[in-house]
Amino acid sequence: MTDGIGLYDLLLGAALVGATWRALFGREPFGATVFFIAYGLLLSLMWVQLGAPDVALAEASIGAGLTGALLLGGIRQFERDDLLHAARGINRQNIFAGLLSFSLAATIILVLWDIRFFTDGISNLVRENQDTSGSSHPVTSVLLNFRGFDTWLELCVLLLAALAASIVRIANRNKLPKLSVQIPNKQITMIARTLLPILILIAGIMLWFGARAPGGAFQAGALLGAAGILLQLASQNVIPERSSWAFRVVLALGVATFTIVATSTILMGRNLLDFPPDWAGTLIFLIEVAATMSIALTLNVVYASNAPTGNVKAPQ
Amino acid sequence: MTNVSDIATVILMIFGSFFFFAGTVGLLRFPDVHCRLHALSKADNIGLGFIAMGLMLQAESIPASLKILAIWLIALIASALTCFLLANWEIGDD
Repeated sequence: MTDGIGLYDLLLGAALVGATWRALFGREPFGATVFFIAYGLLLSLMWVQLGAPDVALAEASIGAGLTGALLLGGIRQFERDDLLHAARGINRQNIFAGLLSFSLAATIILVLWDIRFFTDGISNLVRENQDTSGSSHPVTSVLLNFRGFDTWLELCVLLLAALAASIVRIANRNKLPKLSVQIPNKQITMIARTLLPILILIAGIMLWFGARAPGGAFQAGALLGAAGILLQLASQNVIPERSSWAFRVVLALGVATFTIVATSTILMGRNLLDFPPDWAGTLIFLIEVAATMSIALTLNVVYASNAPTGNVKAPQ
Repeated sequence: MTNVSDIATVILMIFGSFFFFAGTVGLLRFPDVHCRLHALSKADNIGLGFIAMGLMLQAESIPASLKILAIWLIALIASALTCFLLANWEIGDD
């Protein structure tokens, strides 16, 4: 993180643009996805260069890892679907999507142009109020205290995504392949057994240290989610029945905890999500634990939304 | 003392880079999946191992250097797994 742009930054930038190009204009879906994953990893290196390890961790775990797994799962499912290959070329849908992306990009550029003079942003404000936030890591303070509302809404979006994925699965249930008597892959099963404890341990570390170092609910949730997806790949049915209480409670845990905390702050006569400084640390930790569980389950629900139906027995 | 570890780091990193370079050349030049996997896993295992060793010497504390060691070990597991999966897929016996 030295000042100025070095050779390494230039190479990284060039590789990033190259990977983006191949991801967008690759000939076939599988190759494009591989470049999308490479793009995510390069992007997270870029975030490290910019001094934002929190974003780098989130990008590497969610952007590259889990989104990549989702895309690969989607390709495996729809490999022989003409729609996947017919999407290129110019048609009405593509033009519409292009216009939307273009206006989004234009808006972002306008906003960035507007704030170019505020070189400090809110960093001074955050630093001055750090002591009352209940966390010694500025990113955690912003995400869960000062701008807790945004994180609350993010969790709502995730909940909606999980519900949408479940609904799509129900709507498509007749088209989904029935699980044949497929023997789970030996290597994946073995590796799942080896990696599972490590993933859970690192998720716990991420969650616990999120209060004072890079990490937190999203990174921990992504790792737990990855552990679940590994189990799914090893053909273990890890997701409880979608109508069960356990499933519903864990899925809604993040949003519910946020809602309960927000309501209590109002009942105490404070503003919405205005944590009392003495309690802030505890409340942030509670919310992070709840959010981690919900995020992990959400990612697994989305990943499993086009998995074959039925159960497989683990190899003996 | 610092000098000795600095020199060792440079040597280890050069070894590591050599293995990555050789692995990349192998990936591009070797004829089939199994040969390419052989080249790739050499780069992953030994190249990354040398680089991790070099970085461990520069880490500020013993826990920090142990974390780097852990990264290498986890990468070893992942590399061995993907290598097996790809090789099996090529044989068509998955």
